[in-house]
Amino acid sequence: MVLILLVLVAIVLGFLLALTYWGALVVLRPVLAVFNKKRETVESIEPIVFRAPEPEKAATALGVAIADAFADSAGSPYLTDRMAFELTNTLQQSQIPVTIITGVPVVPAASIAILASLVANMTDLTSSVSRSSGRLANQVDTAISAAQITELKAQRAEGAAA
Amino acid sequence: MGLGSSGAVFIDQKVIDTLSRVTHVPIQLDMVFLVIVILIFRQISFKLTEATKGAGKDDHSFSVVFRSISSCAFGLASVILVAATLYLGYAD
Repeated sequence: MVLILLVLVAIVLGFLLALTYWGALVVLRPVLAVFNKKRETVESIEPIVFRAPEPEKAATALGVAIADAFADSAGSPYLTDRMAFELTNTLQQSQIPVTIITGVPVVPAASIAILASLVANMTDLTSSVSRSSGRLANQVDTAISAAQITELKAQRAEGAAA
Repeated sequence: MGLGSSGAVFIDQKVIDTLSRVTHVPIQLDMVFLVIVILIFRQISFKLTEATKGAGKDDHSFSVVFRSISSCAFGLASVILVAATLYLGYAD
């Protein structure tokens, strides 16, 4: 009898604690959402900056790749493994030797520039990144903003239509 | 799924003495009963957690929320049962 009482008390207390925890989460969710939204906004407007021996070619290839990656993200501000994989493929098809670290489950989309900075052959394409710190690299040849990415996408669409 | 520190609770001499005196049942039966209940609680908690993994992050339907709360509740209940046994052993 005592043991059964003990088990019942444990179940009741367990549910009470779980409900309290869930209630606290429900109350805090709007507060946490505000912070998350603020972080996404800050990260998504970061510019992507890099330099290369052939800036135009590299800019076009990287810009189109990034545009594709964002298009595949379905509005999500985060870069998935699949997007990183497609970015690697696109850059390799452009005959730009790159190595992109994959296996990162989720990274902010703005840090796609960091992936670009992880270039294996630094003689062909040297990248530098301005991200959360907001600092620009000393030697900047080309900068791609969100507007330019949109423009590149439009140009690519026109090319495909032609 | 292991019993962890609860094993130490069940071989504590004072807890054994108190439980056998309070329940009037052989201590082996007490221990087997408690261990089985704890393992059942943890198994239920684990199964419910596995069941909710398939749900999306933004899925706040009643069934998903209920499963999550129940999973948490049974996990906590197994810990509370160990704590309550220890308390009973030393409070009496």
